[in-house]
Amino acid sequence: MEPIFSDADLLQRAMAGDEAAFLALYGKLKAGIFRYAFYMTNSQTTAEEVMQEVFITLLQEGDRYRESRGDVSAFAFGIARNFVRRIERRERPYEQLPEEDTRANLAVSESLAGHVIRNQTTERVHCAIATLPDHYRQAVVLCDLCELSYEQAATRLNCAVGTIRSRLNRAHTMLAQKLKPLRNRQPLEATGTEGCLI
Amino acid sequence: MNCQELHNHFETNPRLDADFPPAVVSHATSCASCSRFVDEQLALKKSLQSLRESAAEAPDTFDARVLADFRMRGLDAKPTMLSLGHISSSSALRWGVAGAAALVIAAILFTSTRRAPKANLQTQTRSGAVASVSSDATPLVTPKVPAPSMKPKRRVIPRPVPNRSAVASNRLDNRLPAGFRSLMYCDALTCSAPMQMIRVQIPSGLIARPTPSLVNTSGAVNADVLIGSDGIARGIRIVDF
Repeated sequence: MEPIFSDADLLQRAMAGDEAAFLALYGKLKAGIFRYAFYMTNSQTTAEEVMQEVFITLLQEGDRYRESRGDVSAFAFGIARNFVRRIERRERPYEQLPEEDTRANLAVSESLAGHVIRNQTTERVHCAIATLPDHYRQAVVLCDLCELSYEQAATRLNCAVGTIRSRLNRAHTMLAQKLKPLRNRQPLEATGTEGCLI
Repeated sequence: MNCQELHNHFETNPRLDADFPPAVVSHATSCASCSRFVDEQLALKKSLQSLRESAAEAPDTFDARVLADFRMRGLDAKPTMLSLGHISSSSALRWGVAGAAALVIAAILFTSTRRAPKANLQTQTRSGAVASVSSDATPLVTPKVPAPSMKPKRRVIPRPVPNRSAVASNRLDNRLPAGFRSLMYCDALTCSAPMQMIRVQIPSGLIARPTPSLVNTSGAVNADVLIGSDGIARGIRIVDF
Protein backbone atom coordinates (compact mmCIF):
# COMPACT_ATOMS: atom_id res chain seq x y z
CA MET A 1 0.00 0.00 0.00
CA GLU A 2 1.42 3.36 -1.03
CA PRO A 3 1.78 6.00 1.66
CA ILE A 4 -0.58 8.96 1.42
CA PHE A 5 1.21 12.27 1.55
CA SER A 6 -0.33 15.61 2.34
CA ASP A 7 0.10 18.46 -0.11
CA ALA A 8 2.71 19.99 2.17
CA ASP A 9 4.70 16.74 2.12
CA LEU A 10 4.38 16.55 -1.64
CA LEU A 11 5.70 20.07 -1.94
CA GLN A 12 8.67 19.31 0.27
CA ARG A 13 9.44 16.18 -1.69
CA ALA A 14 9.03 17.95 -5.01
CA MET A 15 11.44 20.64 -3.87
CA ALA A 16 13.90 17.93 -2.95
CA GLY A 17 13.68 16.61 -6.51
CA ASP A 18 11.08 13.86 -6.15
CA GLU A 19 9.44 13.74 -9.57
CA ALA A 20 6.56 11.51 -8.51
CA ALA A 21 5.67 13.93 -5.72
CA PHE A 22 5.84 16.83 -8.13
CA LEU A 23 3.54 15.09 -10.59
CA ALA A 24 1.07 14.26 -7.83
CA LEU A 25 1.01 17.87 -6.65
CA TYR A 26 0.78 19.14 -10.22
CA GLY A 27 -2.18 16.86 -10.87
CA LYS A 28 -3.98 18.21 -7.82
CA LEU A 29 -3.42 21.90 -8.47
CA LYS A 30 -3.32 22.05 -12.24
CA ALA A 31 -7.00 22.33 -13.09
CA GLY A 32 -7.90 24.87 -10.45
CA ILE A 33 -5.01 27.19 -11.18
CA PHE A 34 -5.47 26.98 -14.93
CA ARG A 35 -9.16 27.78 -14.67
CA TYR A 36 -8.52 30.66 -12.33
CA ALA A 37 -5.84 32.11 -14.62
CA PHE A 38 -8.00 31.55 -17.69
CA TYR A 39 -11.05 33.27 -16.24
CA MET A 40 -8.99 36.13 -14.90
CA THR A 41 -7.13 36.77 -18.14
CA ASN A 42 -9.54 35.40 -20.76
CA SER A 43 -6.57 33.97 -22.61
CA GLN A 44 -5.44 30.40 -22.81
CA THR A 45 -1.87 31.38 -23.63
CA THR A 46 -1.65 33.70 -20.65
CA ALA A 47 -3.24 31.06 -18.44
CA GLU A 48 -0.55 28.61 -19.51
CA GLU A 49 2.12 31.21 -18.83
CA VAL A 50 0.71 31.83 -15.37
CA MET A 51 0.48 28.13 -14.59
CA GLN A 52 4.06 27.49 -15.65
CA GLU A 53 5.29 30.39 -13.54
CA VAL A 54 3.27 29.18 -10.57
CA PHE A 55 4.88 25.75 -10.59
CA ILE A 56 8.36 27.13 -11.11
CA THR A 57 7.82 29.55 -8.22
CA LEU A 58 6.42 26.76 -6.06
CA LEU A 59 9.62 24.81 -6.54
CA GLN A 60 11.88 27.80 -6.08
CA GLU A 61 10.13 29.47 -3.17
CA GLY A 62 8.22 26.59 -1.66
CA ASP A 63 10.16 26.98 1.58
CA ARG A 64 8.17 30.17 2.18
CA TYR A 65 5.04 28.08 2.56
CA ARG A 66 3.68 27.89 6.12
CA GLU A 67 1.11 25.21 6.84
CA SER A 68 -0.45 27.37 9.56
CA ARG A 69 -1.47 29.99 7.00
CA GLY A 70 -3.45 27.67 4.74
CA ASP A 71 -3.09 24.73 2.42
CA VAL A 72 -0.67 24.44 -0.48
CA SER A 73 -3.48 25.11 -2.91
CA ALA A 74 -4.11 28.51 -1.30
CA PHE A 75 -0.39 29.24 -1.45
CA ALA A 76 -0.32 28.35 -5.14
CA PHE A 77 -3.43 30.47 -5.76
CA GLY A 78 -1.68 33.37 -4.08
CA ILE A 79 1.25 32.98 -6.45
CA ALA A 80 -1.14 32.76 -9.40
CA ARG A 81 -2.97 35.89 -8.27
CA ASN A 82 0.30 37.81 -8.08
CA PHE A 83 1.27 36.68 -11.56
CA VAL A 84 -2.13 37.61 -12.97
CA ARG A 85 -1.81 41.07 -11.45
CA ARG A 86 1.68 41.42 -12.85
CA ILE A 87 0.45 40.43 -16.29
CA GLU A 88 -2.46 42.85 -16.04
CA ARG A 89 -0.06 45.65 -15.14
CA ARG A 90 2.17 44.64 -18.03
CA GLU A 91 -0.67 44.52 -20.53
CA ARG A 92 -2.59 47.55 -19.28
CA PRO A 93 -0.85 50.12 -21.51
CA TYR A 94 -1.86 48.13 -24.58
CA GLU A 95 -5.43 47.22 -23.79
CA GLN A 96 -8.50 49.12 -24.77
CA LEU A 97 -11.24 49.06 -22.21
CA PRO A 98 -14.62 48.25 -23.69
CA GLU A 99 -17.28 50.88 -23.28
CA GLU A 100 -20.60 49.71 -21.98
CA ASP A 101 -22.85 50.99 -24.76
CA THR A 102 -20.56 50.21 -27.64
CA ARG A 103 -19.96 46.77 -26.31
CA ALA A 104 -23.67 46.12 -25.97
CA ASN A 105 -24.27 47.25 -29.54
CA LEU A 106 -21.22 45.52 -30.84
CA ALA A 107 -21.83 42.76 -33.30
CA VAL A 108 -18.31 41.78 -34.18
CA SER A 109 -17.86 38.74 -36.28
CA GLU A 110 -15.02 36.31 -35.80
CA SER A 111 -12.51 37.59 -38.28
CA LEU A 112 -9.63 35.24 -37.62
CA ALA A 113 -9.84 32.25 -39.90
CA GLY A 114 -9.79 28.93 -38.18
CA HIS A 115 -11.11 30.24 -34.92
CA VAL A 116 -13.90 28.38 -33.35
CA ILE A 117 -16.93 30.61 -33.02
CA ARG A 118 -17.55 31.06 -29.38
CA ASN A 119 -20.86 31.54 -27.80
CA GLN A 120 -21.83 35.20 -27.78
CA THR A 121 -23.46 35.09 -24.38
CA THR A 122 -20.40 33.49 -22.87
CA GLU A 123 -18.18 36.13 -24.39
CA ARG A 124 -20.29 38.97 -23.16
CA VAL A 125 -20.51 37.55 -19.68
CA HIS A 126 -16.77 37.19 -19.77
CA CYS A 127 -16.45 40.82 -20.82
CA ALA A 128 -18.84 41.93 -18.10
CA ILE A 129 -16.82 40.04 -15.49
CA ALA A 130 -13.63 41.58 -16.83
CA THR A 131 -14.97 45.08 -16.26
CA LEU A 132 -15.79 44.43 -12.60
CA PRO A 133 -13.53 45.91 -9.94
CA ASP A 134 -10.79 43.47 -9.01
CA HIS A 135 -12.13 42.34 -5.61
CA TYR A 136 -15.57 41.62 -7.08
CA ARG A 137 -14.04 39.86 -10.04
CA GLN A 138 -11.94 37.66 -7.76
CA ALA A 139 -15.07 36.64 -5.84
CA VAL A 140 -16.99 35.76 -9.02
CA VAL A 141 -14.11 33.83 -10.53
CA LEU A 142 -13.36 31.86 -7.39
CA CYS A 143 -16.94 31.12 -6.27
CA ASP A 144 -18.99 31.07 -9.47
CA LEU A 145 -16.46 29.88 -12.01
CA CYS A 146 -13.87 27.89 -10.07
CA GLU A 147 -16.66 26.60 -7.82
CA LEU A 148 -14.78 27.06 -4.57
CA SER A 149 -16.67 27.27 -1.30
CA TYR A 150 -16.95 30.58 0.54
CA GLU A 151 -14.38 29.34 3.03
CA GLN A 152 -11.90 28.33 0.35
CA ALA A 153 -12.33 31.63 -1.47
CA ALA A 154 -11.91 33.51 1.79
CA THR A 155 -8.64 31.66 2.47
CA ARG A 156 -7.35 32.41 -0.99
CA LEU A 157 -8.26 36.07 -0.81
CA ASN A 158 -7.22 36.34 2.82
CA CYS A 159 -10.49 37.85 3.98
CA ALA A 160 -13.56 36.89 6.01
CA VAL A 161 -16.29 34.59 4.71
CA GLY A 162 -18.84 37.36 5.19
CA THR A 163 -16.75 39.62 2.98
CA ILE A 164 -16.82 37.02 0.25
CA ARG A 165 -20.60 36.71 0.51
CA SER A 166 -21.18 40.45 0.32
CA ARG A 167 -18.69 40.88 -2.53
CA LEU A 168 -20.32 38.09 -4.46
CA ASN A 169 -23.78 39.53 -3.95
CA ARG A 170 -22.61 42.99 -5.02
CA ALA A 171 -20.83 41.51 -8.02
CA HIS A 172 -23.99 39.68 -9.09
CA THR A 173 -25.99 42.88 -8.90
CA MET A 174 -23.41 44.68 -11.04
CA LEU A 175 -23.25 41.82 -13.52
CA ALA A 176 -27.03 41.74 -13.83
CA GLN A 177 -26.98 45.46 -14.63
CA LYS A 178 -24.25 45.02 -17.21
CA LEU A 179 -26.01 42.10 -18.87
CA LYS A 180 -29.42 43.76 -19.02
CA PRO A 181 -28.91 45.06 -22.58
CA LEU A 182 -27.90 41.59 -23.64
CA ARG A 183 -31.13 40.07 -22.37
CA ASN A 184 -33.24 42.80 -23.98
CA ARG A 185 -31.55 42.32 -27.34
CA GLN A 186 -31.52 38.57 -27.59
CA PRO A 187 -31.09 36.91 -29.96
CA LEU A 188 -27.95 38.77 -30.95
CA GLU A 189 -25.65 38.29 -33.86
CA ALA A 190 -22.50 36.38 -33.35
CA THR A 191 -19.74 38.21 -31.63
CA GLY A 192 -16.15 37.33 -31.10
CA THR A 193 -13.25 37.80 -28.80
CA GLU A 194 -12.55 41.21 -30.29
CA GLY A 195 -15.40 42.62 -28.26
CA CYS A 196 -13.68 41.63 -25.10
CA LEU A 197 -10.37 43.31 -24.65
CA ILE A 198 -9.16 42.35 -21.22
CA MET B 1 -41.72 35.42 2.38
CA ASN B 2 -41.84 39.14 1.66
CA CYS B 3 -39.68 41.25 -0.66
CA GLN B 4 -37.14 42.13 2.05
CA GLU B 5 -36.73 38.50 3.01
CA LEU B 6 -36.21 37.54 -0.61
CA HIS B 7 -33.43 40.08 -1.02
CA ASN B 8 -31.93 39.03 2.29
CA HIS B 9 -31.87 35.48 1.03
CA PHE B 10 -29.77 36.45 -1.99
CA GLU B 11 -27.48 38.55 0.20
CA THR B 12 -26.75 35.72 2.59
CA ASN B 13 -26.68 33.04 -0.12
CA PRO B 14 -25.28 34.76 -3.16
CA ARG B 15 -24.21 31.55 -4.86
CA LEU B 16 -26.22 30.82 -7.96
CA ASP B 17 -25.21 27.24 -8.55
CA ALA B 18 -28.16 25.70 -6.68
CA ASP B 19 -31.89 25.83 -7.33
CA PHE B 20 -33.81 28.67 -5.73
CA PRO B 21 -35.84 27.67 -2.67
CA PRO B 22 -39.61 27.20 -3.21
CA ALA B 23 -40.39 30.19 -0.98
CA VAL B 24 -38.43 32.46 -3.30
CA VAL B 25 -40.13 31.07 -6.38
CA SER B 26 -43.60 31.36 -4.90
CA HIS B 27 -43.02 34.96 -3.80
CA ALA B 28 -41.62 35.86 -7.20
CA THR B 29 -44.80 34.67 -8.90
CA SER B 30 -46.89 37.05 -6.83
CA CYS B 31 -44.58 40.11 -6.87
CA ALA B 32 -43.68 41.86 -10.13
CA SER B 33 -40.49 43.60 -8.93
CA CYS B 34 -39.21 40.48 -7.20
CA SER B 35 -40.09 38.47 -10.28
CA ARG B 36 -37.85 40.74 -12.39
CA PHE B 37 -35.08 40.42 -9.84
CA VAL B 38 -35.35 36.64 -9.72
CA ASP B 39 -35.39 36.50 -13.53
CA GLU B 40 -32.19 38.53 -13.60
CA GLN B 41 -30.58 36.18 -11.14
CA LEU B 42 -31.78 33.20 -13.14
CA ALA B 43 -30.36 34.62 -16.34
CA LEU B 44 -27.08 35.35 -14.62
CA LYS B 45 -27.02 31.84 -13.26
CA LYS B 46 -27.42 30.43 -16.78
CA SER B 47 -24.74 32.74 -18.15
CA LEU B 48 -22.24 31.75 -15.49
CA GLN B 49 -23.07 28.12 -16.06
CA SER B 50 -22.41 28.44 -19.78
CA LEU B 51 -19.16 30.20 -19.01
CA ARG B 52 -18.13 27.39 -16.67
CA GLU B 53 -18.93 24.79 -19.32
CA SER B 54 -16.91 26.61 -21.97
CA ALA B 55 -13.77 26.65 -19.85
CA ALA B 56 -10.60 25.85 -21.74
CA GLU B 57 -8.34 23.08 -20.60
CA ALA B 58 -4.60 23.11 -20.49
CA PRO B 59 -3.27 21.18 -23.49
CA ASP B 60 -1.53 17.87 -22.92
CA THR B 61 1.71 19.26 -24.31
CA PHE B 62 1.73 21.67 -21.43
CA ASP B 63 2.21 18.85 -18.92
CA ALA B 64 5.37 17.80 -20.70
CA ARG B 65 6.62 21.38 -20.64
CA VAL B 66 6.11 21.70 -16.90
CA LEU B 67 7.78 18.36 -16.32
CA ALA B 68 10.73 19.45 -18.45
CA ASP B 69 10.98 22.60 -16.33
CA PHE B 70 11.00 20.46 -13.22
CA ARG B 71 13.73 18.19 -14.54
CA MET B 72 15.83 21.11 -15.69
CA ARG B 73 15.47 22.72 -12.29
CA GLY B 74 16.55 19.49 -10.67
CA LEU B 75 19.74 19.53 -12.71
CA ASP B 76 20.39 23.15 -11.84
CA ALA B 77 19.44 22.91 -8.20
CA LYS B 78 21.52 19.93 -7.11
CA PRO B 79 24.96 21.57 -7.16
CA THR B 80 23.53 24.71 -5.59
CA MET B 81 21.96 22.78 -2.76
CA LEU B 82 25.22 20.95 -2.22
CA SER B 83 27.26 24.11 -2.01
CA LEU B 84 24.67 25.81 0.19
CA GLY B 85 24.81 22.85 2.50
CA HIS B 86 28.53 23.29 2.90
CA ILE B 87 28.25 27.01 3.49
CA SER B 88 25.43 26.75 5.94
CA SER B 89 27.38 24.39 8.13
CA SER B 90 28.89 26.83 10.61
CA SER B 91 31.46 24.40 11.96
CA ALA B 92 32.77 23.68 8.48
CA LEU B 93 32.96 27.39 7.83
CA ARG B 94 34.90 27.94 11.03
CA TRP B 95 37.34 25.18 10.20
CA GLY B 96 37.78 26.60 6.74
CA VAL B 97 38.59 30.06 8.05
CA ALA B 98 40.98 28.63 10.62
CA GLY B 99 42.72 26.58 7.97
CA ALA B 100 43.07 29.57 5.67
CA ALA B 101 44.46 31.68 8.50
CA ALA B 102 46.97 28.97 9.38
CA LEU B 103 48.08 28.79 5.76
CA VAL B 104 48.57 32.55 5.59
CA ILE B 105 50.62 32.58 8.81
CA ALA B 106 52.74 29.69 7.60
CA ALA B 107 53.36 31.44 4.29
CA ILE B 108 54.42 34.66 6.06
CA LEU B 109 56.79 32.78 8.34
CA PHE B 110 58.25 30.86 5.44
CA THR B 111 58.96 33.94 3.33
CA SER B 112 60.44 35.87 6.26
CA THR B 113 62.83 33.05 7.12
CA ARG B 114 63.91 32.80 3.50
CA ARG B 115 64.67 36.52 3.16
CA ALA B 116 66.81 36.87 6.28
CA PRO B 117 69.86 34.81 5.17
CA LYS B 118 69.76 36.27 1.68
CA ALA B 119 70.04 39.76 3.03
CA ASN B 120 72.90 38.67 5.21
CA LEU B 121 74.56 37.00 2.27
CA GLN B 122 74.17 40.03 0.07
CA THR B 123 75.88 42.37 2.50
CA GLN B 124 78.77 40.00 2.87
CA THR B 125 79.34 39.49 -0.82
CA ARG B 126 79.14 43.19 -1.41
CA SER B 127 82.00 43.75 0.99
CA GLY B 128 84.05 41.14 -0.85
CA ALA B 129 84.61 38.91 2.14
CA VAL B 130 84.18 35.18 2.05
CA ALA B 131 80.56 34.31 2.51
CA SER B 132 79.61 32.85 5.77
CA VAL B 133 76.28 31.97 7.15
CA SER B 134 75.28 33.87 10.19
CA SER B 135 74.51 31.83 13.22
CA ASP B 136 70.90 32.95 13.46
CA ALA B 137 70.01 31.66 10.00
CA THR B 138 67.49 28.85 10.00
CA PRO B 139 68.70 25.43 8.88
CA LEU B 140 65.82 25.16 6.41
CA VAL B 141 67.48 27.55 4.00
CA THR B 142 70.84 26.59 2.63
CA PRO B 143 72.81 29.71 1.76
CA LYS B 144 74.33 29.77 -1.65
CA VAL B 145 77.88 30.99 -1.85
CA PRO B 146 78.50 32.80 -5.10
CA ALA B 147 81.16 31.41 -7.34
CA PRO B 148 84.25 33.63 -7.67
CA SER B 149 83.51 34.19 -11.35
CA MET B 150 80.06 35.56 -10.61
CA LYS B 151 79.69 39.27 -10.58
CA PRO B 152 78.75 40.82 -7.31
CA LYS B 153 75.21 42.07 -7.24
CA ARG B 154 74.72 45.50 -8.58
CA ARG B 155 74.04 48.09 -6.04
CA VAL B 156 70.63 49.54 -6.54
CA ILE B 157 70.82 53.28 -6.61
CA PRO B 158 67.47 54.87 -5.93
CA ARG B 159 66.51 57.16 -8.73
CA PRO B 160 64.33 60.20 -8.29
CA VAL B 161 60.74 59.39 -9.08
CA PRO B 162 59.65 61.29 -12.18
CA ASN B 163 56.43 63.29 -12.25
CA ARG B 164 53.92 60.94 -13.85
CA SER B 165 51.61 63.59 -15.24
CA ALA B 166 54.52 65.33 -16.86
CA VAL B 167 55.58 62.10 -18.51
CA ALA B 168 52.07 61.39 -19.67
CA SER B 169 51.59 64.82 -21.09
CA ASN B 170 54.95 64.59 -22.85
CA ARG B 171 53.94 61.33 -24.39
CA LEU B 172 50.54 62.63 -25.37
CA ASP B 173 52.03 65.75 -26.80
CA ASN B 174 53.99 63.49 -29.08
CA ARG B 175 50.90 61.57 -30.13
CA LEU B 176 48.11 64.16 -30.19
CA PRO B 177 48.07 67.17 -32.48
CA ALA B 178 48.59 70.58 -30.97
CA GLY B 179 45.67 72.06 -29.04
CA PHE B 180 44.11 68.75 -28.10
CA ARG B 181 43.60 67.71 -24.54
CA SER B 182 43.96 64.06 -23.80
CA LEU B 183 40.90 62.08 -22.87
CA MET B 184 42.68 58.80 -22.34
CA TYR B 185 46.12 57.34 -21.99
CA CYS B 186 47.81 57.29 -25.35
CA ASP B 187 51.00 55.46 -26.17
CA ALA B 188 52.74 53.95 -29.14
CA LEU B 189 50.62 50.84 -29.02
CA THR B 190 47.21 52.34 -28.50
CA CYS B 191 47.63 55.39 -30.70
CA SER B 192 49.93 54.02 -33.36
CA ALA B 193 47.34 53.97 -36.13
CA PRO B 194 46.09 57.18 -37.70
CA MET B 195 43.24 58.76 -35.79
CA GLN B 196 40.05 60.22 -37.09
CA MET B 197 38.78 63.64 -36.13
CA ILE B 198 35.10 64.40 -35.84
CA ARG B 199 33.37 67.61 -34.89
CA VAL B 200 30.67 67.36 -32.25
CA GLN B 201 28.48 69.69 -30.27
CA ILE B 202 28.47 69.27 -26.54
CA PRO B 203 26.29 71.07 -23.99
CA SER B 204 28.03 74.11 -22.58
CA GLY B 205 27.19 72.88 -19.08
CA LEU B 206 29.83 70.19 -19.49
CA ILE B 207 32.58 72.76 -19.92
CA ALA B 208 34.08 74.06 -16.72
CA ARG B 209 34.28 77.72 -17.73
CA PRO B 210 32.72 78.26 -21.14
CA THR B 211 33.45 81.68 -22.56
CA PRO B 212 30.61 83.36 -24.43
CA SER B 213 32.58 83.23 -27.65
CA LEU B 214 32.57 79.45 -27.53
CA VAL B 215 28.86 78.95 -26.89
CA ASN B 216 26.56 79.05 -29.91
CA THR B 217 22.93 80.14 -29.97
CA SER B 218 21.60 76.73 -28.97
CA GLY B 219 23.77 76.66 -25.85
CA ALA B 220 26.20 74.11 -27.27
CA VAL B 221 29.94 74.20 -27.74
CA ASN B 222 31.73 72.88 -30.83
CA ALA B 223 34.56 70.49 -30.23
CA ASP B 224 36.89 68.36 -32.31
CA VAL B 225 37.30 64.85 -30.99
CA LEU B 226 40.11 62.52 -31.99
CA ILE B 227 38.96 58.93 -32.32
CA GLY B 228 41.58 56.21 -32.22
CA SER B 229 41.57 53.19 -34.48
CA ASP B 230 40.00 51.24 -31.62
CA GLY B 231 37.00 53.58 -31.64
CA ILE B 232 37.89 55.24 -28.34
CA ALA B 233 38.05 59.03 -28.04
CA ARG B 234 41.63 60.01 -27.29
CA GLY B 235 41.65 63.78 -27.37
CA ILE B 236 39.36 66.79 -27.50
CA ARG B 237 39.75 70.39 -28.62
CA ILE B 238 37.16 73.11 -28.07
CA VAL B 239 36.77 75.27 -31.13
CA ASP B 240 35.42 78.75 -31.46
CA PHE B 241 31.86 79.20 -32.57
